[in-house]
Amino acid sequence: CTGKLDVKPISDPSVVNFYRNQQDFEQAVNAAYNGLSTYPTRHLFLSEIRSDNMYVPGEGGTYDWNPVNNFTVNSSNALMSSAWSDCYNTIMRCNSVLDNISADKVPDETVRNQFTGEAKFIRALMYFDLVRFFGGVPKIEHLVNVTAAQSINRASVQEIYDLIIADLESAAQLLPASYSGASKGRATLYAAKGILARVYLTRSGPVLLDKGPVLNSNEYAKARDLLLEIINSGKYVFINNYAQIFSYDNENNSESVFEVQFKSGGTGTGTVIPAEMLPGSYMRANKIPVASGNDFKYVSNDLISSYPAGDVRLTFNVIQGFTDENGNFVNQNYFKKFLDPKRYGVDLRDWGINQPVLRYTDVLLMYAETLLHTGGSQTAVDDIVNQVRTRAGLAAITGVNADTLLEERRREFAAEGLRWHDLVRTGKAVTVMNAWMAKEDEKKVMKPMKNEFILYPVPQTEINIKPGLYDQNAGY
Amino acid sequence: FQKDSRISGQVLDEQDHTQLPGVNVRIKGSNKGISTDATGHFAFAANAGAVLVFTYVGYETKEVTVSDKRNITVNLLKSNQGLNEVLVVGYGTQKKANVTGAIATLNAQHLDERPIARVDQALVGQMAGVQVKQISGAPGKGFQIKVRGTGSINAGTEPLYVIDGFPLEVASASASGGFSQGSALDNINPNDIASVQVLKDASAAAIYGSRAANGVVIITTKSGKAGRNRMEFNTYVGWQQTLKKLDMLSAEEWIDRAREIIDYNYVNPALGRLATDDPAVRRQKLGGFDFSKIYDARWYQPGHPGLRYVDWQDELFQKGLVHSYQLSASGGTDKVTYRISGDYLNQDGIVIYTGYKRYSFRSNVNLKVNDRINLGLNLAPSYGVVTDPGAEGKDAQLHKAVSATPIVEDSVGLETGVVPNARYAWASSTVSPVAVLREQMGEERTLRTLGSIYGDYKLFDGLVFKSTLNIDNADYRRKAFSPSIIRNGNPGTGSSRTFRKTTLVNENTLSYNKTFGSHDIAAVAGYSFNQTNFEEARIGGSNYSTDDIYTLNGATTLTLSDTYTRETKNVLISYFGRVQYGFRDKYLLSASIRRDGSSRFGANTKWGVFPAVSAGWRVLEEPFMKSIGAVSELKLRGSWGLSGNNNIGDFSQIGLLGFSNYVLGTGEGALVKGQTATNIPNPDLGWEKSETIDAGLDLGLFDNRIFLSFDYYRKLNTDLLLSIPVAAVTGFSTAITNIGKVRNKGWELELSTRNFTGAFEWTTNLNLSHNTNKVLQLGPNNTPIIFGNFDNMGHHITTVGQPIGAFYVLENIGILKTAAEAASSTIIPGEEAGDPKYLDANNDKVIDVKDAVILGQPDPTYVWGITNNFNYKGFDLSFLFQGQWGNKIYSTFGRAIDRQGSGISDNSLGIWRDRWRSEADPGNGIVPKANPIKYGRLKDSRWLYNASYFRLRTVTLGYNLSRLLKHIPGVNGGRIYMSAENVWGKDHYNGGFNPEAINDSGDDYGAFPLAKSYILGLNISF
Repeated sequence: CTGKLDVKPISDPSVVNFYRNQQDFEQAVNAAYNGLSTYPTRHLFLSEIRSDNMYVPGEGGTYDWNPVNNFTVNSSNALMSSAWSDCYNTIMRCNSVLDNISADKVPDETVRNQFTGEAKFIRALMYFDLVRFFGGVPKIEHLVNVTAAQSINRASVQEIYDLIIADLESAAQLLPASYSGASKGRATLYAAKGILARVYLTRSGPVLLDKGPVLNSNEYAKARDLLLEIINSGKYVFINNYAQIFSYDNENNSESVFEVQFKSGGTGTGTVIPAEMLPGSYMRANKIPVASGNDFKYVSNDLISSYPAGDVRLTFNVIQGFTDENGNFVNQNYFKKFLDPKRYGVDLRDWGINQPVLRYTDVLLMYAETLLHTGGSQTAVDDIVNQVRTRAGLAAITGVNADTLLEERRREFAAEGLRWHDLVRTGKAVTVMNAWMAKEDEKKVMKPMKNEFILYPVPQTEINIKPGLYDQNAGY
Repeated sequence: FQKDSRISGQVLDEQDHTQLPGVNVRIKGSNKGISTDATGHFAFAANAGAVLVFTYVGYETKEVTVSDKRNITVNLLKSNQGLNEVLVVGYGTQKKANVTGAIATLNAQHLDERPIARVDQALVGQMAGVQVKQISGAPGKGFQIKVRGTGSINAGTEPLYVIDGFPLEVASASASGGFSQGSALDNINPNDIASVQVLKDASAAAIYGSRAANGVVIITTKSGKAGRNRMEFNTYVGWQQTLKKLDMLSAEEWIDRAREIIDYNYVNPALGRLATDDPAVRRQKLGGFDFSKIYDARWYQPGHPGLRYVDWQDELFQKGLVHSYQLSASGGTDKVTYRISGDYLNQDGIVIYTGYKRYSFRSNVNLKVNDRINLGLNLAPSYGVVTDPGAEGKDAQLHKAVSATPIVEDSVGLETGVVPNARYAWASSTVSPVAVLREQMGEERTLRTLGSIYGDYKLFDGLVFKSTLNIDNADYRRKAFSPSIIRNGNPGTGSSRTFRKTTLVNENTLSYNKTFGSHDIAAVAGYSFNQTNFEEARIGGSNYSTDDIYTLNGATTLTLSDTYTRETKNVLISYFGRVQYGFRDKYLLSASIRRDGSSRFGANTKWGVFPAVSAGWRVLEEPFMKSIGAVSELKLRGSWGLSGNNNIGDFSQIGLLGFSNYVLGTGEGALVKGQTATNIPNPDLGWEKSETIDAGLDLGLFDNRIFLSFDYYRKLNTDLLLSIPVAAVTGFSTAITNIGKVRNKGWELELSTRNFTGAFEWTTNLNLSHNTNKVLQLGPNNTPIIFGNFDNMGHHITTVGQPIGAFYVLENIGILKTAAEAASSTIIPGEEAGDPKYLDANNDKVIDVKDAVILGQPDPTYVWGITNNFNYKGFDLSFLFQGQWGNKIYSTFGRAIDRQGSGISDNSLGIWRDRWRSEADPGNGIVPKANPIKYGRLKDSRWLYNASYFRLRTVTLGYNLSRLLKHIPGVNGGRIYMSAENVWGKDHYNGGFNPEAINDSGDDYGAFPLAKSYILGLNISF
């Protein structure tokens, strides 16, 4: 009779019979990719809104992202805990693959290498987020249980970078150069090299905060070489039409080095990004189903005025005023870069547009940046920047320097979640933000940016687990 | 040997001497019997020396030996105070006098004479230690019942229900209030209930082992009695309406507040914009329309042309008609007894387009095959329909109606926002709640069948084998549809959910009852097998091509995440035994043990053992008590026992995988399957343990005219199933573990008095219980568990030394009346004059989440009820007052209707009239400013309300129609009554409708108010 007590879950698969064969590992790797679905919103909230690209001081209520914008964020802000736990949940998914995979379970070496490389790539991407947002964090390379986790404290920034670099170097060895057909969208060795170049660039900038992600390590040459490999690979093509890069009908195009894949249709794999960026009244006027809007996420006037006249990127990226459902003109500015009003899925949170993590244009502009720092050819730098400007409908310029390059990056990558990271790694986060605030914070709600605010606070929920285990970041 | 000769007589009530019609009179040892007529008379043939047995529902059975006297008067004593009353305990019965555990009893005698829609409703305020919370006023919704406080943090807190010996699957109330898998009491007709007993302490309940920790509610349904066939017809009709309306700003007051915010937004920052600018000027200066900076010129025109001012609450509430019809017939012979009944209830809700209908049937038949074998069949099919298009909870229509802008365009009126009508430009996105309730479909239908078949076989004198087979099958179907016209023209969406829950129970017992001289022995041993299967199917669809079809064939897209079937199952196998021993009805001992094996437990912890012992001393039976005539009962009781709570979910112990899909491939890409772990497995997971000690005293005075029961208990719940916060670096934020400890202790008092007897009769039943709850241990570091929705901080804390889920918020200490005060006070960065002032609890000169303090608890410390019954010359009057105190309620609804910085559109509570407007006009010093805020909001004590209340729950006035009806052939008696529920009372909850509401993560976010009802009813017996 006792046998009747052994009831197995009927509708839920269980770990007991998993990680057995290639198919299981393929699903486990896919689940790790699924962990990237929060990547775009994380960078919208913690990078784009934090930066001078958006002015989100809080109107009609206080949302989690308002204090991020205002530099009044505290350790109990829900965006802190979701950033922390989403990254570590995805790391757990990667570690599940890495801890369990073996030659007897996945005998095909090419496949096994690919799975391993993908897991390491995604893990590195998560640690890179963690180190940039929180500094040195607990270093978890294998699955850990509850008890073990309680004695792992924060590693140093250097140790986290060691893991990131090791993972990305390994991924660059293990991953294929490209995929075709049904596998398009997976991480390639060039994605690994490109992210690694971004890691080196980040480490190389001037130090404003000793526990921060920037180390003044002067690794521009390492970054340059990696970026050159990508450029010379011939796998990527510069698309001459800005709008085409972000078209719903042109995903995983030749410009894309790595992007998070989304698909609408009520399958739980859509993105909320377009709706996060636009207000409910705009959505309603465009007959897009909306219960209540994510209003008041304004594009900053400063970003708008940074576009020279005729820059096609301004009209593509930003909507400057719109007519609401009652026929009234509303004079407010929002990002519409990823919106195609005809392409919503089952609801407001379900859009099929992929989100860029690393574009070829970024590879080129980072390469130009490394040239500036390593004494490369000014002409080469100017050519790259002018290629981007020409596409935007702007005249060519000469004598591009670090500042003009940064400004070009701002216009090019607006709404893509790069701006804050760019300000941090170039050492400009404090000066640029404070200058902008003085101009644009008409509501006078923002606190001055200081060096400590380069990092976010460790979530209070994590500090509470075992008091004393994690130190809080300075300034919080 | 004498020949039968005629004997006649009359049966009267011993106290008020009213005639008792329909009393069963039988000669003991034969099947000869009749019933008394409408005047209580009887006559038939009987020998002298024969024993006549008089039985009557609600009265004690009486035996009279026939003497030479040919005309006798028999007085029967009402049994409700009698110690000879028999209580149903687990797997047997026991004389109340001999009970050694803590058992509360509901006097169910008059249940069929009250207009009660659900059995749980009948339990409100009736039993000490049993808290019955009406968490929703929506028609047909289940109540939450807690016995002796909250014993669990994460596992269920609902008691086990046993109907006629059939232990039903324990259902847990969800955090959002309702019972998503049905409540055990759904569809049960209160008129079929003969008695309700609640086993409160572990010694009484431990015979139910791993399911008994939250108490056991034993329900016995009415059965037929040998004798005359009886028929009863009960009906009532009446109406109900809302008990409460929230005080919100009127349209004029809303305009006043909106204008204040609009002007503020317009002139700040100073860019040459003036508050005196009229709308046209503003539009020109702004370069476009912005409702947050431009007002509607019509507000200030006489008669506000083109606008209509609306009180949405008035539009949503209605007087709902309630009517009910019940018919039953019962009777039988010595061989066969039966009772059959049917009922129809139709209740319109107090909110438009809501309601509840129930059709239920029951047949209880018992067949005495011969002296040894007894067979029976109980069958109760029922059908209930709950109509709720979405009135209750966050973003549901009651919330919307309360918070909706009280102004609409006159041209569209209440159809605002309904396609093709635009909404009012200054209004929130809310589509007319009236139209949504009308157009939206939300209907739940439950067809439930409860069936038991049993047989017992007397092996030899005193030893009986009994086997029962029980089935409870619930088929539930919910259909929902939201058409395009209330969705801004976006295509309709619909869904369908069905589930079938089937519980099968087989129990086999061997029981032995024997008296040897002064020794009474009762023993029972048994085996039980329980299995519950739950199968669910959902379909969600969108992009309906038309509003005319609600079924899912009208949808052109299926929502995959809401389209699936699921199944789950659990098995419980048990062995149990109990011995009760009594010596001269004076020294009483009882011991029981149960061994439960459950599929829910981890591989290492499949089986648990649950023992209990109790003892009683009937001091009254001691010789020295004989001289104290006033004392009619004195008993001391004591018990210890261990029970369990296995309501921990079906597969919590197993490491489950969840689907975590991704998209890959060219073009739009295709879905690829992904799977990943969703929890941390725990092979040691087991039941929660509950150890109770109980000491009790029963005291009866003056022939039990005063009867008092007092119990003191300490209940220690250990190995609590806790979802403890774990370091997120594990990949998870919580893990389920048996670790916590919670103690409940308290006392219970039940007092019944018969204040007047005779022609004017007055009885009082009082119950009062006190419980304190304290968490003794949590996870490895006793990390507090902080929870509660919204706004970056939890507002509940479960922490060592405090009650479960205590409120944990910043303490509001008024407002910052002036800029000077703001500058000199400790504030949240960004706060300024007109914002709330908070206590710097940790004195670190910063106001932040670390300043949260514990302010009260969600469970009451005192719960009470008092019933008074009066009888005089056929009139009866009863009052039930009940209430609670010592607890608070946090209104997350306040986030919608009492929030700083809520903007222009939404309406606010009426207290916002007295808000801070300027330093010169600081309002009442409690309500902050309406203008936009510059600081990150934290949860404060402004939304925390005292949840104490008292309520005149029921008042009933009845008149016995027997005298009027006795001349109508076939009619035996009758009663007409008027009843009112919830007509009077007081609470302090101004932030919502119902101080007991739970509908959003354990809090109130727009609950349905309770109904106030007025009923006229009629009972007739034939």
